[in-house]
Amino acid sequence: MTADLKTSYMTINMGPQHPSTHGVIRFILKTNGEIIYHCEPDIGYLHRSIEKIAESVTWQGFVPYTDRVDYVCSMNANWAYCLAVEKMMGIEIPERAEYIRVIVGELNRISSHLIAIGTADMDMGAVTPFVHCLREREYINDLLERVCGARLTYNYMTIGGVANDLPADFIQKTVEFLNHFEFAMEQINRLVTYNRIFINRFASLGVITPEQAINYNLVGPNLRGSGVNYDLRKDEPYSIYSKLDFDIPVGTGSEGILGDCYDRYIVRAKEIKESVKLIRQCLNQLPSGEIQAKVKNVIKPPQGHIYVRTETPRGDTGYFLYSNNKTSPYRLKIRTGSFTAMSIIPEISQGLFIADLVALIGSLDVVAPEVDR
Amino acid sequence: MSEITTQSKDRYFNNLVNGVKTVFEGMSITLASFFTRPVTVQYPEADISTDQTIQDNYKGPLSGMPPNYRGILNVDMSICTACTLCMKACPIDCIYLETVKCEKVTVIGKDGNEENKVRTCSIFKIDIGKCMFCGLCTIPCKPGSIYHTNRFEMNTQSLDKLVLSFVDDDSRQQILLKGMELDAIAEAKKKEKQALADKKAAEEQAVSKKTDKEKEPSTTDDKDNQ
Ligand code: SF4
Ligand code: SF4
Repeated sequence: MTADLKTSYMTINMGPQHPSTHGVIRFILKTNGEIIYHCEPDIGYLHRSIEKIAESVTWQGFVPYTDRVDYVCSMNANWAYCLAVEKMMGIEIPERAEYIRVIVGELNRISSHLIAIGTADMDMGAVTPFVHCLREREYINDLLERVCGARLTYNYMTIGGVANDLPADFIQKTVEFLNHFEFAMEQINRLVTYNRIFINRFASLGVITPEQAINYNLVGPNLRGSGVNYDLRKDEPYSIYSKLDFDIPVGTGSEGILGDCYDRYIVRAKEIKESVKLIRQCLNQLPSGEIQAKVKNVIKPPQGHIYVRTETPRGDTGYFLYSNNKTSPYRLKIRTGSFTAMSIIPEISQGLFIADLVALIGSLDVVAPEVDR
Repeated sequence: MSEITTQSKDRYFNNLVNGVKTVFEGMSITLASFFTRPVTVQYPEADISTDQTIQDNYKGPLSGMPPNYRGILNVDMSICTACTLCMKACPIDCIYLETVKCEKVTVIGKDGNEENKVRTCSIFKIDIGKCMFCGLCTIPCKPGSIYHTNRFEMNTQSLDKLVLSFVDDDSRQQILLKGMELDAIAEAKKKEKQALADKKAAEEQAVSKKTDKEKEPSTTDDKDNQ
């Protein structure tokens, strides 16, 4: 009798409006009871055709659009694009501008990682740490607002430097913030990162082996979480990173297996400390002088193409530019870390519980607009 | 068998103790934040537009909006030189302006530099509904007449109220009339100049013809002489 009764996989739509998908992404799950048999990410809900828009705006006019590629770390996105255009045109930017770029970029990295670890906690049901993280992020928003006048879409970097100089009390306020933040971060770590219950929930879950990570082209903290020591700030230094002293935290599998969710999480938590170190160094060494190289109002980069990569909080962000000596790009392509992080989810999620998929997505720190662009 | 059970028993109790410990640790941090100042700004009650105004209703560590906040745009028409650079700089074309001639004046920009103004705007409109507050339009403006205010509350019930116009209808009429007048004067001047130039050219021609005529016989004479 029972031999005739067939079971079949049930299809569940997780998203597009699911709180744990961090934006508008849909996962089509085929489940065997509580266990995932197959998971297919369905992306494209946030597609704004930013790459096509680039072909109709001027080179400088595209900078505010890069803010919208990844709104959690727009400073770094600005930086990647401006660096690409500067390299193409051979513009040397003043040293003070380089230091300011590192300071604001690392501040933005901290705020982005705070969101990453905060939402990972919240996905696991721990709402309190999320509020703690957002509170700290608010201070950074305040600082950056003082620098550039906006809280989220900064549009601070320009081709050839930065838009305006640091306000007079910026250095003092940032040092104050860093002193406070180091204590606050230790509290957040005590609250969740070293919390036994949290560790047991995250460790040995969603393991990505180093080989898999490289094969799927994971970048940034997701790659380093799998134990691969690769960071563009060290391996292909741009700006002034080669002059600065900092470490690259990598996953060690300290609580479970190398490359599990906890490794990816702790890499981010440790990177925040490194960023604090970087900002302190830059504030100490900050030279005086110009903040903007001499660049014409309307620029026309020479015929040719270039691909420039920078290390943003979500990993290696690349800008490919093709210029045919006109006032706007002929073609622009953006490569982001979240996109490759999405592509590994089908393989890793096989055999996980649905609740564990939430943890996996949280640990990969996927930001939906960056996937679709 | 018994060994395994003691081991798992140990682990079980270890986990229990660890769990309780971390819960207490977390609770201590949560309790500690009960005694800190709230960071949240009660927004509509606290006026957040500057550092000074925020202090009345808020005692937390965050500060108000900085003076360089990129809010809704405003244009100071008295110093705008109608150079149209802001319109060209905007990536989404939300500034629209038309210019006409005006009396030549010298305006003093925000940074103290003098600029010559020979044209003025008859239409200057900004579609705030489209604007993304990027600040690109303010960079090329030499006198600094287009600038961000720290206003950000602007809810209306219709989209066309979001189109800000900085030249009102009355002054537009005057500006247009003045522009037409100046255009007419310029046209008249141009014509006069043209007429003068024509006259001069004609005279020159006549003179040259005359000299030619004078010369011609002489040359023929010369030729004859030869
Ligand atoms: S702020 Fe940006 S979007 Fe708004 S009018 Fe100026 S250039 Fe255009
Ligand atoms: S750039 Fe400044 S001066 Fe020129 S038209 Fe715009 S507001 Fe007027």
